[in-house]
Amino acid sequence: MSEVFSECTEEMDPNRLLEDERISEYVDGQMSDEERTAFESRMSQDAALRRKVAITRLLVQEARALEALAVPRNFILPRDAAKQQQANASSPSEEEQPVPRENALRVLVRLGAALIVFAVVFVGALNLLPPLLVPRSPAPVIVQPTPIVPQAADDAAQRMMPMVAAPQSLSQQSAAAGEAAEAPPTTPPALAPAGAPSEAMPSRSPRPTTMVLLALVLILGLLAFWVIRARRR
Amino acid sequence: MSAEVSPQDEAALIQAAQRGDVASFNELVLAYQALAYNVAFRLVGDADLAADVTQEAFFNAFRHIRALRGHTFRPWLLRIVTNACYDALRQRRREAALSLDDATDEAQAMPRAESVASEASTPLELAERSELRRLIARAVLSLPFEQRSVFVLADVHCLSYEEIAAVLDVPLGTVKSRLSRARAHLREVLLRHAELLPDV
Repeated sequence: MSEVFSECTEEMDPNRLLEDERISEYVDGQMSDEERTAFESRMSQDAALRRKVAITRLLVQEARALEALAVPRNFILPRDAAKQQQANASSPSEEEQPVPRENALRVLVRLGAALIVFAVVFVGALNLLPPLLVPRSPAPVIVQPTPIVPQAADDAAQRMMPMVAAPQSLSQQSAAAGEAAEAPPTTPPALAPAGAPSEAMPSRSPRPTTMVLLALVLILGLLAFWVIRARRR
Repeated sequence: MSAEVSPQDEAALIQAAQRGDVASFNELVLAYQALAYNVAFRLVGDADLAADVTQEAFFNAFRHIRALRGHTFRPWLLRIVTNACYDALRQRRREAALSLDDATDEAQAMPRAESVASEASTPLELAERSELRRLIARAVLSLPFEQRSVFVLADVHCLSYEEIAAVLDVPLGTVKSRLSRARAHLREVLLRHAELLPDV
């Protein structure tokens, strides 16, 4: 007998399922007197149903008659099994596990998500904080080499001056900045170096540090609440 | 190799085993090993695998026997055996696509000739009956596991619906519907081998 049975996975229609259940109940004597009478009445008129019942009876009879196998050996446990039991007692048993495996996995995923959110918020906060925490220093004077323009050789004074790119002196610069604060210039200075902070650029207005810190604390609190709630579940 | 244990003795043995007494637990093993092994064999269809599963089930039972509160030992043990069979089959399926021919230990699955001879009157009838039981034993292995477990417990080992519901931790209605589906499928298999069926 080399035949391989097909897996029983087919969907069955509800009427057939109901009839199968009735046959099973009838064979097992699980019907009430009225149900049995009605079923036997149906059987008397339905040869196919009669045959199904007969085969089911035969099946149950033969299944019960399947020979019980002798055990190939004794399955008794070795004496040191008690040690394993004691070791197991320290860890919760399957029935006593506080968190099923699926829930534990879910909590881990949530913790991971919380950590990621926390990291993102933390990095974002770090990016915000430096300009708030570091005292604002005056704009640095940026030196940039100016193209050497051939000048008159007799201009000794200019030749001795350092190559300062800024066309204006510091005092002139601060004065210009003051003016810029009152009325922004319509045109940038012609010789303003590209890398230097331009007076035309809007300066950063100081942000309230306490507000940022409060928001951070609030987010952290929410995260902690979320994590604790997830762990309790 | 099996020993009968009265319910009173069983309760005492369970209590002793819960205190870590291996010898008491081993008395329970001797009382239930035949049932456990036969259920395992009908569920996995392989004698060696059934032996491994049975041994593992008894180890697990001893390890967790402290969790046994208000249950009787037999359904609790059979639940462990059933779960162990399911895990073993799943692992085996993972390892290799399994042919039913390889899974079935034919020599063991085949009913003993003397048991069939006691019911069959002629040699032909004897051979047909033997073949029919072998067919049933093999067809059981083609059932989905949840139907197979109900069929084996109900029709091979004659457990009540209530006890099966306790073993499998499913409602009574589920037991009935799974059993009727299993029987319907096996009936179809038998109908395809009508030559083995007596006049029904």
